[in-house]
Amino acid sequence: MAMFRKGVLLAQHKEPAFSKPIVRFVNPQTDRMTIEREPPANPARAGVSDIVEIAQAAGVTDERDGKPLYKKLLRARERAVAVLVDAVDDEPYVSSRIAPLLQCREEVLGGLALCKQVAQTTNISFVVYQSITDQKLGLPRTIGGMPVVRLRGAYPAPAQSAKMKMREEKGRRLIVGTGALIHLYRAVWRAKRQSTTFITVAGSCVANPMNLEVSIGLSVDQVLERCGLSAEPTRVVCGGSMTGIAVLDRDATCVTHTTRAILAFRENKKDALFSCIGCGRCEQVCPAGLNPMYIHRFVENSYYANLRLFDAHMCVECGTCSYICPSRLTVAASVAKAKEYALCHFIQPGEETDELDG
Amino acid sequence: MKFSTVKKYRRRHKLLGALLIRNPVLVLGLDLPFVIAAATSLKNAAAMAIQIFIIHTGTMLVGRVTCTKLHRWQAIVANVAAATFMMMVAQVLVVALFRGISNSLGMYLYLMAVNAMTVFQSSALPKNAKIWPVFTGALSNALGFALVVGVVALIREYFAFGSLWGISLPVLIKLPALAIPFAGFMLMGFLLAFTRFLNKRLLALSLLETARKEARYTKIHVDSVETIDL
Amino acid sequence: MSLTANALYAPHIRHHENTRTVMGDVILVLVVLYIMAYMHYGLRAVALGVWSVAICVLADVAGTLMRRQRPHIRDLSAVVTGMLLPLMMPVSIPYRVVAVAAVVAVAVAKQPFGGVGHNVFNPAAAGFSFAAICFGVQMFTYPEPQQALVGAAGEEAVFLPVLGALDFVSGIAPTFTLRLGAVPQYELLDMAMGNYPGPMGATNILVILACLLYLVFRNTVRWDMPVAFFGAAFLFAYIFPRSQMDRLESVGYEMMSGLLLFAGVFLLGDPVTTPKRDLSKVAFGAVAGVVVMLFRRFGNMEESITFAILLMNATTWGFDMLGERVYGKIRRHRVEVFNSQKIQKKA
Repeated sequence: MAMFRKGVLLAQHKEPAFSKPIVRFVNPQTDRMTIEREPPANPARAGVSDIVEIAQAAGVTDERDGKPLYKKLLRARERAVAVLVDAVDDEPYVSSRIAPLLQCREEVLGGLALCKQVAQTTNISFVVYQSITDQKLGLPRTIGGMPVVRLRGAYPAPAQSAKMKMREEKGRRLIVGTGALIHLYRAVWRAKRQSTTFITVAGSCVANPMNLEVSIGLSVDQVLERCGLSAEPTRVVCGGSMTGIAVLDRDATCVTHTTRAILAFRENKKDALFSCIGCGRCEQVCPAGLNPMYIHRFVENSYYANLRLFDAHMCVECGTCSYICPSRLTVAASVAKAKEYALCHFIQPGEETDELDG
Repeated sequence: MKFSTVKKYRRRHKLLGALLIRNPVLVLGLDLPFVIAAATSLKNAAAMAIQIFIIHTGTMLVGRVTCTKLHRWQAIVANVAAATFMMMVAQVLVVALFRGISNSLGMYLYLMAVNAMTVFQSSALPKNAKIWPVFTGALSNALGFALVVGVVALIREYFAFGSLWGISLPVLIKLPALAIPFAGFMLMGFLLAFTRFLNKRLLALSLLETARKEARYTKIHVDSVETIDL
Repeated sequence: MSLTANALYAPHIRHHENTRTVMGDVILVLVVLYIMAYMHYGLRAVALGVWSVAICVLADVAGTLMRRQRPHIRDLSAVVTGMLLPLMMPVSIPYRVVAVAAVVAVAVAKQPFGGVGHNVFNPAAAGFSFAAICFGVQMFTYPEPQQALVGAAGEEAVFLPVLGALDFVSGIAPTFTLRLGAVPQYELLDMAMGNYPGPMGATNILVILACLLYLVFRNTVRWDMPVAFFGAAFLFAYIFPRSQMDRLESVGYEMMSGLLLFAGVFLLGDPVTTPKRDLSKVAFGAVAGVVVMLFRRFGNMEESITFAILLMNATTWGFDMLGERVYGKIRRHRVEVFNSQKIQKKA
């Protein structure tokens, strides 16, 4: 465990899903949907307004935050000085951003060329995450002549990116995910609507962990059936392993634009929830420098009077505090509650910050 | 537990309430230093009990007069002066009765003049309080204090020195550390918890009794009985 | 809260370390110390340990039930307290003294304050202090080690009996001589090996240092606190030596006599009763070192470190809140710097 750094080094468990080829698991009807618009004559030299209109018509969504890509392209049209491709997968088991980057390279580069046209800049780079325990990943140094920036260090990765030079150009960068680039390319060159997304299916209960390209709208149950379950999971998660949401009804929960992964775990129930032993490990690993132990205690006892001192609104919601807790307490949930309370009662708009957002 | 219920319950037990439900030491938290630091032997406890009876009762009667006639702050000053006078009287009596008491009690002998129970309760009397309830209230408060001090001193003297009222008795294990104030704090903590436990049980019993009484005079009307076919 | 409630909250993977492994590290290290005590003093040392653990666990279970919670013996904190107590006492201590100390440690200093993780005072220190006031003579009468390691004379070792009447030769402990201002009769090297009369577990200096390194490596004890504590004690003993000899030698005796090393590793390494923030830990350790040495210099009792530790435990909350304010200022400064950069770029 780190003696001087914050954050916690996680074993990534990206194999075997990472090396397998991406499999398509699509609904044939939605897969055939096209845009009702004249495709451009020469897609390689499409104009900026053409690209933006096609992106809007195809409904291309950035899978990082669910926002439409065309709005980001519009904002970047005048002012962008850099384009960053976000392929950071810092949570264990998940590799749904980096795998398309490496396996669908032409489509990514094609989409990137279109973004370059919109942003009118040559400062383009890829951002990936490779922790020190995962040297076998084999990530290239350049892709298509453009540099690949590696974030190293402990989880959470944005904590590391804030220290890098990216800070200089904040607000004038166009940050896109790899999936968005692929769908933009397909929209311009093949006039296809976005109807799929890239996800990882992994976990201890999945028989064949792999990366899939899945139609949006398929249920979690169908996806898990496709990959096969080797044991009955006690916990199915939609999202990352550290920040995802547990799925209660597998039939009714569907894959959306922003689903990154579907993970199935079976855990040992003998690790019962003891009470807080006051070890202070949560405070040692918090990347935002907060004190989750006291926040958790205060929230448990509904003692919100002195919460101002603890700056709960600065929480980046990485989940490291709960991860490290030896008593398996839900510390992160309490801090999230305190953050909500602080944002309602203490903090004025404008004072809040998400400064570690890379 | 609703506060109004508790208040109603407490009002009903005004006289003997000071022994347990409104005990000035265990429930109101007044006069703690005497119990924690000075109640280390039964003789000390007896001396303090005599003192508190004289001081508290006298000052409450004086307070009934001063609260009516004077302003609040003037009343406080007058009450404390009266309490000091009572303390001088009580001290003479106590020193005559118990030999060496000023050594074992130390400054707590004289500190009794400004004990919190007397100062607060004598200055908080309403303007037209009746004399008899004031007198009996003062007596029961003093009795409550004496009870607590006696119990604590009993435990501490028996286990710390192996004696009761100076007479050596056989004891299983002697723990002289019970005589220091830290042990007094811990013992007070346990007593407070136990008192709270007792009070809750008593309150629950009394509520149960009231509920039963009310149920006897209430009839439940049944209009129709519907059955559900499963 | 049941596990199903936990199933809803992220994160969904957990570190493999749990409460049992955390406590298990400390227990492992204490077992090593018990082995050393067994080699010096025989079976009675181990019997006292077992007796103390049994009473602590019983008292813990009783206390937890009285607070109407489910007792979890598996979190092993009562076992740790039970193992710590006899190691601070001489081997000739009667069983009832250990029982009293154990009961006070758990039922008076731990359970009424909230049980595991919520106690203000270190239970082992509180139990030891109570027993030291009650049974002063028996607590500070240290027998000579019956079997000296490394350099034994070669005669048959006669250990104290596990039960029954005790008949032993009591040695003069270095703490006693240092209190009088004289030079202890044992060589420094002998003291490092543990061949001098003292508390059962606290004489094996080198083993305790090794235990400290292990605990720091396993992150059960952060390195800030022992470094600050021992550094402050070292400086104080260097500047104000208690006996008339060479300063460094005096410091050596001071640091190796009595419970200083043991308490610095195990009692100050208890995460519940000491501050959590790094800066608070350093400040706390330094102040604790000075307070301990002051107690030694001006205190009445031969071994007063547990009282000093109880005093410092009462100030833990203060140190934590001070640390929180300092870190709050650092956080806000960082945010301001970042925001001002953002504004500069936008302009």
